[in-house]
Amino acid sequence: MEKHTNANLVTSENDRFIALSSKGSKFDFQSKPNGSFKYKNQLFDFKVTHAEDGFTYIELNGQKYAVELVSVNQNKYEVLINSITYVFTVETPFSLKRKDLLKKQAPQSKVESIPAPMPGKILDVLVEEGAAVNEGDALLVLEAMKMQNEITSHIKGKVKKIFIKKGENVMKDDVMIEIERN
Amino acid sequence: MTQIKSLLIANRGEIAVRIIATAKKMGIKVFAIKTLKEPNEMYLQLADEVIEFPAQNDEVPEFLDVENIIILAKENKVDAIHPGYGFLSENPYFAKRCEEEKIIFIGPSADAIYKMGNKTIAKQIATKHNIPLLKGSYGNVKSYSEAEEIAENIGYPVILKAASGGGGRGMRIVEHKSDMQKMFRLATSEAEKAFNDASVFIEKYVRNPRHIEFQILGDKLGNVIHLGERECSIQRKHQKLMEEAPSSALTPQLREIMGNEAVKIAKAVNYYSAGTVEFLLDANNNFFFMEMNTRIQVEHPVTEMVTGVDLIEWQIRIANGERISYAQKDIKICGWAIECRINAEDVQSNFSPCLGTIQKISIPRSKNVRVDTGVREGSEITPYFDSMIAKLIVYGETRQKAIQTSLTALSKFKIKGLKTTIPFCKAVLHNKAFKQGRINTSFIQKDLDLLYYQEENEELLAAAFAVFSHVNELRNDQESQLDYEKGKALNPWLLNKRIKSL
Repeated sequence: MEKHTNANLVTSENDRFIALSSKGSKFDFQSKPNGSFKYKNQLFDFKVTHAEDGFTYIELNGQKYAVELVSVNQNKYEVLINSITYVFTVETPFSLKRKDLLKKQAPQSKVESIPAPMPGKILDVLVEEGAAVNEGDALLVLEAMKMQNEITSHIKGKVKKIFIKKGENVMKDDVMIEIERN
Repeated sequence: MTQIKSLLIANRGEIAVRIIATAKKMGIKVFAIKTLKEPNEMYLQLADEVIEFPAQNDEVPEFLDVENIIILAKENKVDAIHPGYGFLSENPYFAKRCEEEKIIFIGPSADAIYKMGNKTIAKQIATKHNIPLLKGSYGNVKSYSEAEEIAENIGYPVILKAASGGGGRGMRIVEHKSDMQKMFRLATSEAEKAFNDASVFIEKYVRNPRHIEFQILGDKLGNVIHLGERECSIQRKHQKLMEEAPSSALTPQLREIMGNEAVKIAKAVNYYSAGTVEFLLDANNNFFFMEMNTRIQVEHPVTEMVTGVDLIEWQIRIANGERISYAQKDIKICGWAIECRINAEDVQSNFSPCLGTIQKISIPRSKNVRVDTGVREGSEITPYFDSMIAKLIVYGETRQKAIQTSLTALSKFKIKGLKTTIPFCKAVLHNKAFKQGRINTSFIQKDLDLLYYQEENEELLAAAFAVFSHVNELRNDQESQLDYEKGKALNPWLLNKRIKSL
């Protein structure tokens, strides 16, 4: 037996939820009393199924994709659909307003960190703390899957701190170097 | 003529599964090696006998451990060893050790492996037999200043390659003289690390060539035929990601010319077993010999699809000493085949490897679709082995049909728990230039705007799912709070009703 769960779970009618993707797209949903969602003035009837084959599907007008919720961190949702990751923060009109306000007040960070793009081993560190770097300058050589990759700086600035040493192993997203923007 | 009745597979994963399938068909008893790194894999279940690899504390990975594999083969009295691809498949010392111990090595002679494995010697042989080659150092380059000198002579851009290399490792393109010192250092250190041999050679770099390779089959009686070409231009950092047979670039005439050259170089080293001769083909249909791979290739199924020849079966029959029953004229290329490599990699994050467990897997099965895989539900993707988890091979009467069937099959190929290169394969198959057959080795950099394909409304559905999950969570929070804080005051009838509706 397949277990169907209707996507309409909103407690009261006409609640609005705004999904903001990390890439900048914005999806503004409004729940409707009949169980569907209103999006861009169109009514959508999403269906979520936990099927017997072990996959979870989301379906809309005959389009049906396997979907996974990879992680939840507060209101941040990482969704995997057809092997593509989408990251959304789900906001209400009120929380979105507050978020925009906070963003305006916060100063732009001067320090940019360089995280490891993949797990691997540091073969060589090509810069020293305090060194000036241009955009595109090589910072270090990272070996991953038996390939050597030059990691370059994406901004112009000064090397603020180096967290790694030659010969060390790093995990994905470990901060290797911090660069202070000029 | 010997008759192989038992064989040991010195490999793992999908190629072990592939070899088992043919060996079983031929009535051969198969021994597989179990390692502590993946003690529950599919290939072990399919084998007739499973041998445990002896516990060890040194740093040699199991499938590279020549002496221990020889010991296992002798202890179990196997007639032959199949090395698969990678690992010891192109190690002449291993082939020689097998010979010394009277175990049949399913592959070419140690001498042929050695000659073709050393790119410098391979080029010398090609030169001697008038096979077209790129200008270059024709030998190892000792220093960057020597490299600079040669590069001045043949003209930039040039490419530095590890003499013992393969699979794109230890290769560096040098565009200008000013980059030579840095690139020379990178190439030699990478070569030293990867192959224990820092020597590199230098060669004229052809911009945007196609990578065309010919499948060769030779027997121990000196007969050599080719089974047509494979187009392997869809590459990223010299790693093949998609292959097809035949190539849309070749006319029957060009196929015959290139095929004959491939046979010629194989004959020059008295080649037997299956092998692959790689060429670069430039925009004006000039071709240049690159190297010969003296093993079964990952992409061999596309050739099997269009020729109907079981290459693993012929490797075994040739190892038995049998004569190839096909003459060149018997080999007909029929229809089109495409192979998509499905790797556990994150296409959105620079193809970085995705480690983890396959929670669920659903493999498309239909006419004209073949899936070679070594994984199943519960399989773990570890950092010990490469990231390829499956190959989807599709046949079509025409290239267009093969593309369409591949896309349908990819959309039915589902894996839960890991990200795969499926969205990348879709992006290639949907690309206009690809559909028209206009591809070369720069395709991914130049013609592919986005490295992954998004299905229609995919992002909208993902957003809806995020909202759905969020609302679900809000409701759970609310309910647990209600029950905890106000539960005592609730009317028991209402409480009961609420519990039922949870």
